[in-house]
Amino acid sequence: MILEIDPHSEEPIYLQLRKQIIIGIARGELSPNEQLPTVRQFADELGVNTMTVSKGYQQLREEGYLITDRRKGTLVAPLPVTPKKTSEENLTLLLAELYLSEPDEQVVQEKVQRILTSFRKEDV
Amino acid sequence: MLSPLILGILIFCNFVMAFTNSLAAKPHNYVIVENTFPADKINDPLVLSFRKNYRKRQFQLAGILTLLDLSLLIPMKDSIFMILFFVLLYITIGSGYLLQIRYIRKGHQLIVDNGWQLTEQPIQVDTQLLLEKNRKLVSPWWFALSFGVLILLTIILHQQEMGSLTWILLSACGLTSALFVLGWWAIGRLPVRALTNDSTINRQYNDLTKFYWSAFMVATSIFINLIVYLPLLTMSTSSRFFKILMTSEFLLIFLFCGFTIWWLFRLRNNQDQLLTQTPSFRYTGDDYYWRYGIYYNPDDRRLMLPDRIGLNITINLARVGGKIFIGLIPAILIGVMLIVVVPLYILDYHPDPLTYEVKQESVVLDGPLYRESNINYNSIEKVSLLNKMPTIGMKVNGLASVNYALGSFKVDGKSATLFVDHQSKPILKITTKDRDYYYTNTDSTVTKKLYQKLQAHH
Repeated sequence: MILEIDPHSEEPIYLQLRKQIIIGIARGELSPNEQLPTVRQFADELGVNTMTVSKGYQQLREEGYLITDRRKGTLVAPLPVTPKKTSEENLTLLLAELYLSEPDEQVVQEKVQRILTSFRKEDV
Repeated sequence: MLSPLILGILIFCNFVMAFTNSLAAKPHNYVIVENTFPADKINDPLVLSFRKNYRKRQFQLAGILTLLDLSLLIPMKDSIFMILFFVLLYITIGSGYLLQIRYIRKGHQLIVDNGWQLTEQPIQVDTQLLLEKNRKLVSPWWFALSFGVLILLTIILHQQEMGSLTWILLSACGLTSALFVLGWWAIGRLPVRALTNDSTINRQYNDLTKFYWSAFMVATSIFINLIVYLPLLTMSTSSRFFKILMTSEFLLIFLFCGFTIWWLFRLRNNQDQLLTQTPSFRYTGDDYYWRYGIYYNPDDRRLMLPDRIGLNITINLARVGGKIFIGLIPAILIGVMLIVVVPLYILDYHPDPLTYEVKQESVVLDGPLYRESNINYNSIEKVSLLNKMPTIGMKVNGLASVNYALGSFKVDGKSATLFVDHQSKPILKITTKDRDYYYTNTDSTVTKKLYQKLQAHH
């Protein structure tokens, strides 16, 4: 997959990494068991400390999106991943935000539908 | 006799500097004199005239510096001549750099005036490409060839009984080769840094960088060993081989320089060719960090990175390693000047630069910044006064100018230590079993006096 990391952004690099990789897996740009670059390769590419990248990878590993293979390094985890307790809470907050800026429920539903269809159904 | 030669070297330096500096006027990755221009503005009349002006100014500067260098032809003492030489060399380097900075600013102004600023784009990371970024890196096993050549040459040299020189050379060349291995490793770690939105072009661009640079590191490490060792092999072979070896040495040097230039220009051209195949170009906001013609970016962890002319690997000066490196350059330049100039200055202006001391058991000869020679009376075989200095064969180390010879030399095939002012006659020659000593005091009566004292001891 192709990531776009902005080193000058307010958002920390490890969070940009986490967000884009999760969306990438959902959209099917990254397939289960696909190999990811090493922490060092990523850090060299962005010109940042290896700690920054490894923080992002570590978080993704804890959340179950990535796994470590002794020979192949870091891989995308098989799907589906174990559901998170906080997911529903987060979704409620997001939908509330959407609903408050757009009172028409139809429009909100279309928006959600559009995002969902951009994800690859057969894998998720 | 020496001054036209040194003048020639300086003038050559002026024009080489002008040529290398003006390379920045030729766009590479749409960068002209450290400023990134929009792809469609590269051939704009304003940009063309900017490029032309920069190139013209560099060569005008070389012309002015050449006129300045002519001052070396004025007759003067050796030490003043050498000081002037170094000052002129520093002026050449410094003024070329200042001119470059002036044009970096002008280029930036041109972009601002016309509203040609490019939008900074985030860094694009292609995970597949990143995993395979080193697929075209040449194998490190090629370095075995370089070390093999080094060991072979060391064995040959060792058989010719060159003594300690063998080990010094082996460690120096071994270390140099190790630096090239380090360079190869650094090239492996260079980021892909996608320049376009076309992943095929990005991949090809990266493959070119990795292949050309890693191959260059391997080839250079082999060439350097051969170039260093070949002249030493000629010293003890018969004169029949000398011609062949000397010809191959010079051929090798020319081949190496030619190969380097050809190889790196080829890389540059191939990469520019690739970029013309796509309209997209990703600008990552690097201009700001190159605004002084050097790369200074505290937020970038990289120590080594390709420069913007595409013909060199340079260093991020914001990092500690980079700072040490840049600090070493003036230290070396000034150090070299001091080593050359100080002894000459003392010889020229000290009332008694070449001294001797007669002790109980031995006589001690001394000269500025050179190790004193302690000669035991028992080891002296013969003491004589010469009216003419025998022909000096070769300088091993020390200082040799039109007026002075100081240090370790070969005279008539024998090792000799010289403390000689060529203006002063006669010359005292002290013969021992392994080594001859030649000494003059600036004052010829003092030389004669030492001769008489040594005669009494002998």
